[in-house]
Amino acid sequence: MFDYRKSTFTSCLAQALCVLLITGMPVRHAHATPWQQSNPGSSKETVLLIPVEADYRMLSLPQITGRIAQRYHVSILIEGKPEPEPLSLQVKGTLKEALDTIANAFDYRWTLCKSGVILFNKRFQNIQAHPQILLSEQRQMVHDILKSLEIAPTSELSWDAQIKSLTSTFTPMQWDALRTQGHLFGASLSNAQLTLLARANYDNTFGEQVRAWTRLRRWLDSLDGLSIQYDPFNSKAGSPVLNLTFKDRQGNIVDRDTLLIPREKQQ
Amino acid sequence: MNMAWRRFLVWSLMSAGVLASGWRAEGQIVFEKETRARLTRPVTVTLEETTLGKALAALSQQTGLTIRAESFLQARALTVQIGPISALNALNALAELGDWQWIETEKGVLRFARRRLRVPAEPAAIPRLIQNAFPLDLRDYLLMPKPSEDMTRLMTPATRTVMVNGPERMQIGQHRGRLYATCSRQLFDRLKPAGIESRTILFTELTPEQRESLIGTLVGQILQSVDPDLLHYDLWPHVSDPASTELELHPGGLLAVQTHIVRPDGSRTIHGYDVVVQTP
Repeated sequence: MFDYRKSTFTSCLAQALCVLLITGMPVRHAHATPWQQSNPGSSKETVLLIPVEADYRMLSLPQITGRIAQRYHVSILIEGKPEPEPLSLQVKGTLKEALDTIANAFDYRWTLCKSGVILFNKRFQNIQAHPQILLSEQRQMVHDILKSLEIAPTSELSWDAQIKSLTSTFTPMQWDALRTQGHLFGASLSNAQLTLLARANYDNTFGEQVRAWTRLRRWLDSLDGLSIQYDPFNSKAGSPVLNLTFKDRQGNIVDRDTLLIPREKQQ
Repeated sequence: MNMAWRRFLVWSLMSAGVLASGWRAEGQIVFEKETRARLTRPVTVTLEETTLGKALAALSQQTGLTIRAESFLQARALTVQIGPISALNALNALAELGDWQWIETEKGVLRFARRRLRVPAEPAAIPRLIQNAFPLDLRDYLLMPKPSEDMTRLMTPATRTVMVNGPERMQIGQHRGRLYATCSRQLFDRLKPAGIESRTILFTELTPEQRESLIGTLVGQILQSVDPDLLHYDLWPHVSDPASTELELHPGGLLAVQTHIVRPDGSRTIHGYDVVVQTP
């Protein structure tokens, strides 16, 4: 005989079991830091309320964060190479306040990521700081940019020639509208005219980008054949000049460039 | 078979299917069962001034998984002070640090790569794809936004004008110029001891630091030469929607191809280009 209560219970049990299996419950519990394990129920933000008092004497950023990670059982990741100069810092307050002080002192910003790890990323407020520039990564960046720019349809003609080509298709009525009303909207053009206009707009917008990034790709691809020469007689505005000559593997010159060096370090 | 057992059977088959195909985690990534088990292992890594490649090698050793970054990311400098936390959390945090993503390419093999945008392959998406091609720190340095995949949030002419003409644009310009100025000065200072003022120096002779300054200078020079709009905003309305383009004829056959933008305060600005055309 059909037992309604029993069948509902079995079904619910099965459903609950499935939900637990799908969501991967055991993994979620394994993520807690020792501090969280000793404080059950604490969310990852609560860790920021831990009271901190310390006097760091002439330490680098990784040395300071290393001590914090060890003492308060938090995980920390720092992006890039921090400035090597050590600093002396006194911190007193919550961990959040301590992190603010430390990040500010070393020109970093910090965030608590979804995984509960504290991330330090450079802030670049120091005028001399710049991001990591890796050749392989820059090559990939240029490759990806040029690939993105390929999406836009291009034409053999320059954008101004394309507009001239577009106006050559204007009907007497369209010219009349331009003269009497002073303007004509793209919406009133035929489909073929609109295609011409769109391509001219794309070329006007993307053409310069394609040329510039292609040039950078050429430079980065021929660095092994690059020579750098100082030219004191060619200096403009009193600045030193470096002449760059890029050659391919066969020794043919592929490009030249001139670098105007700012005379003084920016303050 | 009664109704309850049918439902139980359906649920069991569904869950078996999910388990057989892997495990669904953050970002809808599906892992192999074995990988999933290894990702739950606690890991502890302390590496000062290391690289992403070395950090992932340490995680590989502790998890038994093969975790690699794309070759162009291997040399990324970072400091790692993590643990004990699950390998899954460690990998997710590392990915967030550089706006990277990681996937299981084959059983037990994880690969770190640049985050890929899932946007339509159409011209309107080009600015975001370009922005996404930049490493996170260079994006931050240039005050570039984190590119969104939500293409429905294309800027309206009004909001765009406020941004383009605001102080932010000046700041953006300063930061673009700063990369060239800082790196070129640094390059010159680093080349002086090598005798640049008296001889020609080849790239192959340069130290890693000199090379970094040189490449930064070249990138900075290109950044100065391109229109910054594509690095910070979406396309101008007349480009993203040609039907909205206004053609305006001026004396002398000067045809303006442009967008009229009305600001929230009612004032207007125009963006576009001019071409001299022959009029009948």
